Amino acid sequence: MISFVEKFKDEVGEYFERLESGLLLLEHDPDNQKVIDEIFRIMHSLKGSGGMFGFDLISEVTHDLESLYDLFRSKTQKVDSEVITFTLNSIDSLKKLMVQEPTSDHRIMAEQMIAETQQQIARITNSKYIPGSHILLLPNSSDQPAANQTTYFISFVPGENILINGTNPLYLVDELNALGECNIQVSFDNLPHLSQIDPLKCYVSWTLFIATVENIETLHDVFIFVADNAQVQIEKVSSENVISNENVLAGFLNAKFNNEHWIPNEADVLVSEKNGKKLELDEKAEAELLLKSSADSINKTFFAQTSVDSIRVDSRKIDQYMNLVSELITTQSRMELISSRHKFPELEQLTETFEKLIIQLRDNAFYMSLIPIQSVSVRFKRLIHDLSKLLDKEVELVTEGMETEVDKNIIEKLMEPLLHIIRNSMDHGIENRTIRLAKQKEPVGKITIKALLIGSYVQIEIEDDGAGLDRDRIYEKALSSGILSDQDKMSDEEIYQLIFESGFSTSTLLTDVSGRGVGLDVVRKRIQEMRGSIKISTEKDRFTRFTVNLPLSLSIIDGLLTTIGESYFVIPSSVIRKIYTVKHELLIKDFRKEVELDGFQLPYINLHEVFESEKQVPEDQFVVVVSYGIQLFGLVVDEVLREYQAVIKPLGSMLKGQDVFSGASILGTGQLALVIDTKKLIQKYS
Amino acid sequence: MAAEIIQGLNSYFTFRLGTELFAVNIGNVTKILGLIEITKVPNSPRYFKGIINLFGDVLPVFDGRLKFGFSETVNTRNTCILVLVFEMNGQAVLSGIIVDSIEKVLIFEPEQINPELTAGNGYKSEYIHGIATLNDELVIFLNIDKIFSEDEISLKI
Amino acid sequence: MSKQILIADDSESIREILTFILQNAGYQVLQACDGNDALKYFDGRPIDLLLTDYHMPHLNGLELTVKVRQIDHYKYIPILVLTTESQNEKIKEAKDSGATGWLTKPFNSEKLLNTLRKVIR
Repeated sequence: MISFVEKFKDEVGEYFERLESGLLLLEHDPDNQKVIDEIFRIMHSLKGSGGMFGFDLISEVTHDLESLYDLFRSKTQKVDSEVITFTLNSIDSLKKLMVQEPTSDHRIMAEQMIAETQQQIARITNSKYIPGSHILLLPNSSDQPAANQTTYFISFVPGENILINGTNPLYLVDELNALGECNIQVSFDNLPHLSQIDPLKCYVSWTLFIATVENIETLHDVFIFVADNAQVQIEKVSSENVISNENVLAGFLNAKFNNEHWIPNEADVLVSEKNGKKLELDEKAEAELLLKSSADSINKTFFAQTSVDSIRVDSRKIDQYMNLVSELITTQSRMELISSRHKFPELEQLTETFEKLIIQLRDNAFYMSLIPIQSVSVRFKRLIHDLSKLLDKEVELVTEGMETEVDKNIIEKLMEPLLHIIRNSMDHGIENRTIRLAKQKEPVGKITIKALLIGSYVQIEIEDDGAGLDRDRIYEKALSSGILSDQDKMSDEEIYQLIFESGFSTSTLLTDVSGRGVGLDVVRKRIQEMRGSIKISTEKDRFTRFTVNLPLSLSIIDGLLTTIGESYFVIPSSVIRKIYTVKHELLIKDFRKEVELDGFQLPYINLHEVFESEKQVPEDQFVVVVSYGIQLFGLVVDEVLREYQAVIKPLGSMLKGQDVFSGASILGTGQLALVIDTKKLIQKYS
Repeated sequence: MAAEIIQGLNSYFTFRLGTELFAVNIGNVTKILGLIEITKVPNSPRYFKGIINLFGDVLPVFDGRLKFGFSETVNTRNTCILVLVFEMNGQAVLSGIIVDSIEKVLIFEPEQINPELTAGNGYKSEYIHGIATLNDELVIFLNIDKIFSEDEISLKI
Repeated sequence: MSKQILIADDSESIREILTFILQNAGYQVLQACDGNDALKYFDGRPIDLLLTDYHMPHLNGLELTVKVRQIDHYKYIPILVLTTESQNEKIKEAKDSGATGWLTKPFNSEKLLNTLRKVIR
């Protein structure tokens, strides 16, 4: 958080300067609308962001200053010298109020400023100033949420055009689902005949019961964005959780249907009447239980103190467990296949439940095999310690996000490349004390290792504050070693990436540490073998940063099952952006290998062609749009079958020579599907 | 996959490619499979037939006939996949090879196998570890480790 | 599939804090420093949500929203407008320009992510 606050402070400093110079301009040119706009905008930003970074007083005070300048913006009032002097003074006060933990003096000062601003507004608008119309808000004491669940009925009928502005009504239903226990019914009553369906319109509506501890305002808040474009009705059904009491729910719906008035308390009566006898019994039983459980609870608290919250498990057992889960997924997809063939509803339902459970089991197994990077960080420290002695360089190691958890197999495979990068930074990056002093840098160098989770990827950054890369030297070296020809036009960014090419080392001196044959090309290869990527960014004499991106798990991915010719292929979901159908003849006509989709030209690769399938190309093919770095690329396949959870099996050392396929997955039929590494594929065939 | 190479046996597994009789040490053979559907791997050399699902693991399969320079023959009911295990870079590796037919398991004493190659058999010498005669027929003893170590390099798809 | 969010805000610190929160929540983030800058990102690349400030130099959040709604490819993406005003008038203005919703400053990460949940998953 610190770095944001620092940045914000810098920014505020800049704002103040701009305000001051703006005000001085206004002094000579009070009608300058541009300057007025800017002052308004700055006040607005201060109001908005002040609170976010903990400078609440700034937020409070600029609220009225913003209102003041809004008056000039709308040209109804004119800026005069009194306002300018007042604002300049206000800026001085604002500077003093840039504190996160204000004292009572600060508060008094703020109150006074607010009063003065309001006086200015009153003066300018010729209205009367009413003191105390603005009272600084005291921090709210947090309300205790009621532990009792209330059951509500909600009817949500989205307007037909609700999809136009990017609303997805399903998310709102899902949000309700997260707020409590729900019983949801979907109504397709308004769904027209297929031929009349406009895909841009919403014909579906929902009715649901929810039992929740939240109040009715929270439920209304869910629909806040669609208030003007949907009919939302929320009614209380009962002041307790009756979600599983079908009698009450039916009673409510019946009353509603007959336009009768429903009194929530009646429901409660209904509940207690129905369960009256049972309740008495329960109370008795409960009392007995209470007596018994007091003894139990003593035992429990005792054991709770002595029990441990984690256990050590042999990593081979985890591997075995993961393998079994993988087998289970494979078996499950076979079951799904059989179930879909027989169209036996009970079996289908069972299969579906089974699938859900297996996904949970998979996720659970998956998280079990994760270990924090922390567990290996001591090796980083040790290496840096040893090297700083050897190279006579002083280095401080800073780590961030070491609690980030990664598959232990990845960590093991990642260690060598990471250590190599650190070696590289220590050797080529960080300068010794004398040089650093000459460059007016901190005498002690710094290496920062950061780990961060981004979606299903983990990002690891290794940054040194050393000499940075020498662009020209890399370029010359690339030319002389034939990696580049002088016709190649490359951005600096691209030139830096050249150090990952094989046979590349700019170091004129072979040192003991990193100059021994194993180069950064090997590092990149290792990382790519794990379906990861590595990038370098640098600035001369400031820093060199290696950014490594890796998938969280090596063995299971979500993918899309497709066919090309007679074979099955899996494309990882993580890279898929969209899927289109396209006429094959359209693709043949286009010799530039670009296809127009939604008004955009998209480069594509027809996998039917590049995989040299002997089977006839179908008339309609599918374009699977995948991201490739920041670009998009179309992969044309013959057919898209379904989403598919792929357990990736390695292709084995015999197939090491290729990298287009990251593995194979066994389908329910026992057949194999090859898993495509889209990045490598595009690199190879585009 | 659990693979183990048992060494030091004098038993040899014999099979036919075209008209020739080949032998591999029994320790190198783990399974014989009927000819099942093979998943092609795009853009691989012709002698590499693809991959199959071997009890939940991926097994690469080669066409023995093409690999040793015979012409591709029609599959018969005798055609089958021989699953071999051998050592590569210190690790046990499994690989399948399609053969025309399997023959019997025979015992050869080391002195029966002649490492001197008779000229003109047309095979790469490093593939072959020796030759023996059996009922007026030549038996070619294969050097499995060599055959496949080359494939690893050549299979740049 | 990790979703990509474009942030348009003239305040660097706000952009940074948004980026920090969103990246931690597993989103990919693009940054633009005003409306015109933001428009440059609508070049065919995937953008699953636009999070734009209301007041920005050059092209403000509402003008940006209107422009984005005119680009075929991005016509229906969710757009959230960041504003300090919770008055109905401003919100109506945002909705009329085609915004999916709005988010009032100041906000914390919980509020931001809760609001996001209404429009993107």
